[in-house]
Amino acid sequence: MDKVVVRIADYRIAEAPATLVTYGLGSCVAVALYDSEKRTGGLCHIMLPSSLGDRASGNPKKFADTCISGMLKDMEGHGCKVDRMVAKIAGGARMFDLPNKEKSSSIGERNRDAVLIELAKRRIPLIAEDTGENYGRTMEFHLGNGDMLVISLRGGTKVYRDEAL
Amino acid sequence: MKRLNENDLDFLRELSNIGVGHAATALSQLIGRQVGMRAPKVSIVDLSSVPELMGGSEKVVSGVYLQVLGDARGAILLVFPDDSSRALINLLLKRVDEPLSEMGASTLKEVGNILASAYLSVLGNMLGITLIPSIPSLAHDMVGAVVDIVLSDLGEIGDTAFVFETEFYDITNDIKGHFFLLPGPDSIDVIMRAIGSKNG
Repeated sequence: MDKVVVRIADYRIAEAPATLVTYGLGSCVAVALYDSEKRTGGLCHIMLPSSLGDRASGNPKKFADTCISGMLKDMEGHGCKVDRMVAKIAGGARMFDLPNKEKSSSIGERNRDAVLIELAKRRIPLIAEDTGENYGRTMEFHLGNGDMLVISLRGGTKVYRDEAL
Repeated sequence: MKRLNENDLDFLRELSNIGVGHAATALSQLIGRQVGMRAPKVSIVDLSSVPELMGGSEKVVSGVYLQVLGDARGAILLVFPDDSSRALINLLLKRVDEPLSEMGASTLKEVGNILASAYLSVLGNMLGITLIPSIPSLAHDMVGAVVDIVLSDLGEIGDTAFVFETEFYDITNDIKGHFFLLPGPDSIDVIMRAIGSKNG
């Protein structure tokens, strides 16, 4: 089967029957967007919540806001429609217990929240989520049926199916 | 951020050489076996390539993370391949630790603490600045997930990381580890100023 690997701070778009996969998500968040009519999807692997921070610079694909808008534009170029899309996300863990950072929310939580805001702005429904906790995840996104598989050392393999399809 | 030239990198490489030498001695004393080290690689790498640098995103490792506090900020991440971290624990606890127990986890954190403290005290002394490690924290997971923390810390302000990478090995060669020192963006300036004043 055709497996397309999405690296950290990047996104890829593919169509059925390909599988998009991204490995070793810690505090990073992977966002899978699927247009079931076109059987086309996009998967991104973001590192940071916002490109608007004081010191934020560099590759726009590492930030939730700029990466998602870039990926959406690209998907529309492939004939996808935002109003047909659904989203599934994974990652956003807190890998290390940092004693002096306990009070503030972790980078993983901030990444997840930023992704949710980007999805809400565009009214893209979030239909599955495997986030938080303190372990790493690998995410597979099967474009034949829109399934999201989340694989971890701790929890084995979990399948998130889109019941409506 | 000031751009580093080849001379600066050489100087930092030499500093790290000495620092890591002390850390290796500390580790030898702890485990009661000779520990060697390879001369550190000092490099500037693309952040997104760091997981591959450590053997691929899904490889299972133990990572000990410490923040560097004091005059310069940064982070230290020690990465042990899974079998090496088991070997270290066996050696120190004199028993097999499977799955990783609370005691095994503390042992790895303590190893990280000793290595980081030895390294930072040498670096700090030579530069005439104070560098203190925070309490260590451990994650046993896929390397991609483990290194996320340093990537996002650094990623906020750029796409490259300044990495010191060293490999430890003991004589029977079943223990290996990578030592990553990731100076915060302002720390390079602090270090270069300290080097400047040392060199008169």
